[in-house]
Amino acid sequence: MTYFLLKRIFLIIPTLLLIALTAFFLSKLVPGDPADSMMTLQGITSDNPREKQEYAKLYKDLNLDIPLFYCSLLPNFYPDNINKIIDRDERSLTKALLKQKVPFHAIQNYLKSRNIFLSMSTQDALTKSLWSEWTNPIRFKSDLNVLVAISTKQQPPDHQLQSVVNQLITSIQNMKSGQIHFYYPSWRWQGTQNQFHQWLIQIFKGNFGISTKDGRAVLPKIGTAIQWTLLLSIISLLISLIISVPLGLYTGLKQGTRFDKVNQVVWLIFYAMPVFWLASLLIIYCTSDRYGSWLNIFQIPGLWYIPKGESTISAFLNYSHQLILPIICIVANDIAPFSTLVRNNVIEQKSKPYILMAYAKGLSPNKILFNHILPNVMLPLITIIGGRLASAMSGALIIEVIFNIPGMGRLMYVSIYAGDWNVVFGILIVLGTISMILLTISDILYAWYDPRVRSKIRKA
Amino acid sequence: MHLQKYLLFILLFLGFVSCKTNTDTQESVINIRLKKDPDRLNPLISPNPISREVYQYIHLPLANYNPESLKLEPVLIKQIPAEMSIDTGIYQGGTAFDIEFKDEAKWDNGSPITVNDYIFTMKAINLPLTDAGKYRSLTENITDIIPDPDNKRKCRVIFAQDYMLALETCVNIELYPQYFYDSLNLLGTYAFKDYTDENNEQLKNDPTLQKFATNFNSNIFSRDKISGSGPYKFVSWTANQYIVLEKKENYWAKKSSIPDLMQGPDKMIFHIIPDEISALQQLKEGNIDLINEVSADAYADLEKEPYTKNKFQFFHPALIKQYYILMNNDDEILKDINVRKALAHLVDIESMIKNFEQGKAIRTTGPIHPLKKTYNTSLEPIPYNLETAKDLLAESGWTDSNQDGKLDKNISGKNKNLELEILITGQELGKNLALLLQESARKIGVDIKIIEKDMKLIRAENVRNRKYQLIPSILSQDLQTWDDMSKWNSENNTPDGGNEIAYKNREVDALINKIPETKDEDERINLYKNIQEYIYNDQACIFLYAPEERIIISQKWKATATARRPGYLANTFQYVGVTVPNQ
Repeated sequence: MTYFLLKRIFLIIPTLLLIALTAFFLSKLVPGDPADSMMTLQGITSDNPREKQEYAKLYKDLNLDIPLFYCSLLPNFYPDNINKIIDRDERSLTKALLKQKVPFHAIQNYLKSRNIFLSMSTQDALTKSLWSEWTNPIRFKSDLNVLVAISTKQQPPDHQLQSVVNQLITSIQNMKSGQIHFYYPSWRWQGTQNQFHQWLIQIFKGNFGISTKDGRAVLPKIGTAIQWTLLLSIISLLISLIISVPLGLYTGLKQGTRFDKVNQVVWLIFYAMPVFWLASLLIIYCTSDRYGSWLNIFQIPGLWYIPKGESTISAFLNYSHQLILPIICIVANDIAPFSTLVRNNVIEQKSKPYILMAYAKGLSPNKILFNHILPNVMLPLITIIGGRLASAMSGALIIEVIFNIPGMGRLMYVSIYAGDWNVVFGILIVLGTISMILLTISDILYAWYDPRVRSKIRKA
Repeated sequence: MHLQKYLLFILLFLGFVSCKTNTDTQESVINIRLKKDPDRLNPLISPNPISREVYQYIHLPLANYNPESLKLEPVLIKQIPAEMSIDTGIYQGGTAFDIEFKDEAKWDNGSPITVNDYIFTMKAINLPLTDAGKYRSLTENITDIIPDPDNKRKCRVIFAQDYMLALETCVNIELYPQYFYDSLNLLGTYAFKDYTDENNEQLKNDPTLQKFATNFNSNIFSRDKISGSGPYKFVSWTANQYIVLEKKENYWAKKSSIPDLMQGPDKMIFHIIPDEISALQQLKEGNIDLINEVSADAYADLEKEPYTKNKFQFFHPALIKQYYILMNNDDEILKDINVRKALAHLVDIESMIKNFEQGKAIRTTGPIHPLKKTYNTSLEPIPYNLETAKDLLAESGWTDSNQDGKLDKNISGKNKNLELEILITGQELGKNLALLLQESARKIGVDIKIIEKDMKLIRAENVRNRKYQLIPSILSQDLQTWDDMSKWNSENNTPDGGNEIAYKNREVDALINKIPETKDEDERINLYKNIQEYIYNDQACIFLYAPEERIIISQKWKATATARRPGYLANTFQYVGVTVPNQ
């Protein structure tokens, strides 16, 4: 058993590393630039004259100027670290030209002469109007063939810029003539000064970065949300089990009776009903006098304010008012699968020889049910409860949004909507970890509870 | 079995206590719905509208726009300073403003509001380590702040270079108490003049300043410890749930009639309720007193419904922003002014206002908001007219030459259909607008393809490279008289620049450059109007309309609405306690 435990725990480590790796690379694949998101948080827009400086500051602060990973496998004409180019415009232009197989040194020369040309050709109204046909494509186009076509255009009669333009044309021609036709992949070691390494160190320190939506640290933000989700999922799971296990046992024993049929239909209707619909119906009909005061049973959910100095009982009552409707919705949805599972297992077990044997021995039906059938019915339930609890950690999105519960589902929804990827990938790691732990616990419990598995482990 | 009975008892008990009880409604406590959790309650580092909805009662600027007249009026200072030209000395040719704080103005600890607090605030902005990047572009124009040696409440603000937004920069920035945010006077190491770009590296590497910036940017001063000169004090903030503000006792401006300084309800509770159905249900039940940004349909329903129409006050003040469609003026097809004009005739703006906004919006014809005196009223709104659009396109050679029902043109020997792309995000309004435009265009044989994309991707892949044709967007503005027109200057047609539509007009560039040096107000207004006329004639964009805010307030409060964001000032409300029984 100890070996089994150690093996299960040891397996968590590589899985978590894999989750971290996935989360990191997914975070790099999502649209947008983290430095841009931080600028949005600070209210810096593109028409702010200091936009470039602020971008450069944030880009460096966020470690975006170092390589992505410990190693890279890139075409041999690529630079070691393209992230070193802080200017967004130059970086994207470089990437576009590299894709067209232009060697990096030729691109650098082009960028140099391009910058000189752009600054000189727009320095006053006169030069600006003379070179307007050239400046825009040079500024925005990254297609090498388009650039070559521009460089062959008729030049305006402006001798002041002659040498600058010649330099620009030469650099474009050099890019064209230097285009690489044959290249090989080159393996480069980037060292530990890379984004993943730095990020992982921070993750181990419990620093998941800050939310680009509100500047709060990610981990406390997740911590606050998970409390609500835990509360909601544990209470609703407990209530679901309290209702569905006895119900399943009873209907399993009374298979085919009218009660069994009606019970199945009723819970299947609730199961088939979309949660958002049930939630909206309950809010609209059962929280106001509009459709008769007799229907006005519950408080409207959504107000969490507890005045200062309120007693614990009062706070408890307030939370009960807030949580009863969402719990009803979740439980109504859970009872059908849970009770059906128990019912079917009871039906399966009760026809087995050992039960017939128990009857033959003269055991009472209650004893047979609780001492013999129930333990066997509990086995598949343990697996399902473990998985259910793990998935519940991600929050019941619709329930949390409709009932204004600041849990994980709502946090995830709001963060994805706002493009707050630090929080999204933070949640991914936290949930991955929790799910791993819960599933391991469920495995261990299963092994401990089921003598067949226990003996297999012992033999192994 | 005992355990099961016990659990059943708990279940019944929970069910019982969870049922309805009478909620106490306190007088003079206003419950306001917030659509989402504000970022941070630190105006310098988080100047967004949701945060402003809360911090406007805690942090005050020296002067602010009157909610009724929308004119800049003194709040913490004695009067709006007059602009003075500097004729002699090292700052010759520059301008100066004399600022004097009110004698009675005090912080929460009883200490007077002085020039030191003002200099501290400006230093905090200019320090490159703080997150106040938005304001740095304004305050970097201030060359020096010279305190009056005989009066600690008075100083002179110097602008060595002429700057159009000098007055707003001096007085329309929230003031911070130095004793609270920098009790150790860490920013005192350097004089205000030293906080410049030239000293950037030195400032960035100074450990004292780093310590200050870390604290200032942190959650401590954004969520936990918040203090300002406003009439309300911060009490608590439970993330994603509620924020509580309380009226300050012994407030120095208790009897003031200046809107920003007034004290109304004893307590303000901001409830964060993202879902509109839940929020409206709370409003109907009387648990919420105020809700803004109500969707057009819900607002119209509640306004008509007998159950609610007498229970609430309905306001729809103007919003200083407008919707428009960006057109890439550099695009091969949209380069042609006739195509741009034709597209403008294809948008049925009146129908949009009627259907999307329930009639609550003002049509616009240019980049200035119609409420401003710089708005050019002589420009006629472009009518929805498919025939005119067709004629304009025919003038540019787009005709149905092959009789296939689609407009085409011979370009470089090849027959090309007129096909355009409109990029939209997930926003409902953008989607509806795109569909409306697509439908109108289809009627005259123009294909418009709708592409839905993430806004960040649109910015990075399309706007920055000017690889787009049409994008519906929002033009947000402030209340200041002199709008920044650099967005329309061809100098800013760069990947990082604000001229995202690649608009080029030499006359407009010249007019924009002339604005700062024009001191005569009428002449300056004319410049703005001329710029609008050029943009209108060039049909640089399709200007749609300025929407109105939709606010519903309980009859319990004597309230007014304003065009100043967020559309209401809860501290000016008075409790009248009118109760209308449920129907």
